[in-house]
Amino acid sequence: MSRWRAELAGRRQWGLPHRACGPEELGLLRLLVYGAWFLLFTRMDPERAAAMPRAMFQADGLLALLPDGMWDALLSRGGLEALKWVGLAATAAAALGLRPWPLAGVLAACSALLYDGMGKGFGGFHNHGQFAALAGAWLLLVFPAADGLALGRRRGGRDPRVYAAPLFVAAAATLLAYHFVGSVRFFRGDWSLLVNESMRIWFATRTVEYIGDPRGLGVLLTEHRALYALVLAGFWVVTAMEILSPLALVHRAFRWVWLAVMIPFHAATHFTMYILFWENMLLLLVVMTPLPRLLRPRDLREGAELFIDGECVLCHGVAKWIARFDPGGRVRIGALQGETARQRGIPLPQGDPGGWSVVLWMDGRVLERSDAVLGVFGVLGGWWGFLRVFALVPRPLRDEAYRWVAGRRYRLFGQHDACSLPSVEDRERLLP
Amino acid sequence: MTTPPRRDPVRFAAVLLGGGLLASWIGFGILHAALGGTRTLEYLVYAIAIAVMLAFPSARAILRAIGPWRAGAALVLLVAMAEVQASRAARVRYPLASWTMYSLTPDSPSRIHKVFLVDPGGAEHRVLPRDLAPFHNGSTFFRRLESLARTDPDDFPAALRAAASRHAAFDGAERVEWRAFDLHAEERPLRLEPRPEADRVVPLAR
Repeated sequence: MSRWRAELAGRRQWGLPHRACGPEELGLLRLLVYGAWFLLFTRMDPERAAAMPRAMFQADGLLALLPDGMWDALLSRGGLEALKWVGLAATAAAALGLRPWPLAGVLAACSALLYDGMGKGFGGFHNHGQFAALAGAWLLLVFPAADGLALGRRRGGRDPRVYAAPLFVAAAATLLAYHFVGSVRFFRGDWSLLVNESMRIWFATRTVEYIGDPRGLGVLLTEHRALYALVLAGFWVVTAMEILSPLALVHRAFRWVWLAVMIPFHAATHFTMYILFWENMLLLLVVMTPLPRLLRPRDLREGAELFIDGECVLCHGVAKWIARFDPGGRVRIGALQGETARQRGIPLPQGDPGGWSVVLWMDGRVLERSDAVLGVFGVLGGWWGFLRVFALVPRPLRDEAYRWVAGRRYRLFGQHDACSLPSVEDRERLLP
Repeated sequence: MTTPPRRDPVRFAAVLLGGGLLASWIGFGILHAALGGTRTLEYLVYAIAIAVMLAFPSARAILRAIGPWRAGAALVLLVAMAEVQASRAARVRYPLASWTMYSLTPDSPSRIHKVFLVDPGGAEHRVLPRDLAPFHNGSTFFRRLESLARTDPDDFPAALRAAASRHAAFDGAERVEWRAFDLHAEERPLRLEPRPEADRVVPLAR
């Protein structure tokens, strides 16, 4: 705890969540935003929507500027079918980062705006459930969002702040939506909301109407005075956090406090009111936490060398796998019995078939077992880098899983009695 | 001899962006006024929050790094999206004492609606809000239907019939019944007071 406190005190508290990024991190945001819209489009039912009386529809905001004739065409069966399939195709293309960017993105963002406007225009539905994803779909259009994690040729090499900026702007859009909801609730609504029976009624209404059971969790929660007081107190805290949301963008410690309140709040609303802002929860994890950094290949000062148990490392499935996913040759490979391993001071394996077959030397550090595997994932970056989340699993458990796989490595990955001739790139990767 | 003070690029960018933002906001304000509404608070809330964020050098530096056209376009898009949200919020009337969320109908916050499809034999099938909603907003959709019933009673049967047509039980049903239940919040435990008679009965075309 004291070390944590010292680290916290030593770090600058004022700062953005992402000041410099690679294309992979921005690619993750793109995949998430348009992927969320793709999933929402799969739930659209044109036949049902077309049966809605036109009188119930009312367009909001800028959408109100569209002429009635256009809405008539869009709200017809044919218009809704077209919107669904265009939306599915465009959001899929945008999520995959197909070029030329942002052509697919423009189509996806327009489809998302219309779909969102229709859903809310019919239901009189006002919340910030899909708002951040909608804002994100538009904001990504002005950034090179298809440079990373995209199908086809990879690009990159831009100023890292250009990749970081959209994450900042998307975070700003998300937090502004929260700030708006909290502020309007507090200042334009009624303060008595936070002390009277409104929340109780709201829980009960949602529970009964959505699950049809008056004994649902939302009702039960409010039947006990102490629990209801706790819920109201929590709602005060949540409202305060919502109003202070912009601060979470620029203050590190407050950001974690904010996330620690808002993520459980979203989970709680699912169980008590059947409201789940899953799009917001995913977006927050990407734009407000260091999670996307897992995708960025680790910077190496001295290099990474992987030592594998075996005289002929090229015969090893792991070596072949690395050669496939590390075209840049950042990970060099040698045998544990080789000269380089001896120079690095890495001891030879001692009998245990699963305990010592892969060792990673990285920037002067020796990583063994599961640490070595996670270290290789970090150097490779991209989706492999995401597997570093397993570092959160306690090491003894990880090592046990590693031993299980390592002990069966020949059965799982095969054993080669004969080598194919190494290519020039493979030979350069090899260590003596 | 003194050298003329150099223009601070960060401040310059902030003024440029702030001016652009303000201009956009005024533009949207005029646009909205032309559409016949006022929503000063909604604009103010966003303007203050953006000003707070731009007050931090790190935020200004990142905007400056991406260049004026990207920063400007991003801010205009941000404002446009904010306008959509503000527009939705401003459309809703707020009750005096029991305001909870945007979607709650102000004048009947303690009423729960239930819709039943009744088959020729008299058996009832409860229809949940999400079964009727065109997208995924069933609860508020019910209230919208009720609002329609008040403002335009002639349209209500058609609206309810159209909504009910989505339910699987519709094919065999004879009529659709709309019933309201009062939710008594003053008493504990919370209970529903059922009213056996239907508020509205809409026969279905056979």
